[in-house]
Amino acid sequence: MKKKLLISVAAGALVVMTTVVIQSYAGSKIPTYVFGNNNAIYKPLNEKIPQDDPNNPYFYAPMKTTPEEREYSKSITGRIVTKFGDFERVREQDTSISEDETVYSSDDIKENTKQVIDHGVFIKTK
Amino acid sequence: MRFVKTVAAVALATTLSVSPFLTVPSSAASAHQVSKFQSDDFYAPTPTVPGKVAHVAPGIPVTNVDLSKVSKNDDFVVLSDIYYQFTGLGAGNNIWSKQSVKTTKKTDIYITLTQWSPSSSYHPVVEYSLRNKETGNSTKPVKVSGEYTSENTTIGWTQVLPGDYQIVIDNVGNHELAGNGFANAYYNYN
Repeated sequence: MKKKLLISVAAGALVVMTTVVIQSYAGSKIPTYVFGNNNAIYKPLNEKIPQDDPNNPYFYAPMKTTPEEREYSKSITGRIVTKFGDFERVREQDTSISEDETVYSSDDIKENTKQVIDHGVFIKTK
Repeated sequence: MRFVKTVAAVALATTLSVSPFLTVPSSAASAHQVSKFQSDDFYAPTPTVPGKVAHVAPGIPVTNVDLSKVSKNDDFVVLSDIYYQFTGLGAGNNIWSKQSVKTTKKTDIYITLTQWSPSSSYHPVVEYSLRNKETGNSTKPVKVSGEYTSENTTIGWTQVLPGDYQIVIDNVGNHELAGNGFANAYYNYN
């Protein structure tokens, strides 16, 4: 009886370990664009129909951006381009960057800024 | 005998538990599956509804992007390009381009742009994104902060799946906005 229990526990452990190993292997192989870095995969919060402007050859008439749309847009912004450099969204905060080089609003970016924490984390890339 | 039966049962259970993961695709197959899924998403039909006439923004002289100063790489093939200009875009408003960048292959899409606040010296804050006309879905926005007049700046999205993309410009600053630019799609994945 004890032997049976031992075998069952060992088998369960084997299954769990195998699963973890295979998942971590597959996860590392998934290309980055799976996460939609550069593709049009973000659904709009509200379906809108632009009004035509016959006198403007380039654009439809302007539409109001709602506060909800504004917040949503901030949460999916991929990059911030400024005179002080470009900042790319990353998954985690870089703790090696000092507090002096970190700002908490994209409006506060200055020359020495290396990290922006504002609706996500952005690291200076150039 | 009992031991053999137990071992056989454990082996069977292990095989059944692991087999779904053994069919996990390789990176290429995974990419194929994902792009297939996204492709389905891209080509879903969206009805087009005719709109109404709207007011035109007041005409203000614009600074044009200097095309001669834009560097191009001969290794890249331009698949599609569009030009735009606008002025008098109020704070908290967004506009969608009428023209679109049309691609039939996976491409890099770049917008070379200028932007400024015509009625003030405040620096503009603008978000640019690409909107797939078929699905209505957008790329991640790129936020461009500051005035670009004497020199332009270029933003881009790489490895964009084939589609018909409008430019969406969202004035997220506090002042009226003007700007112009052009968008190109480059094919460079041989």
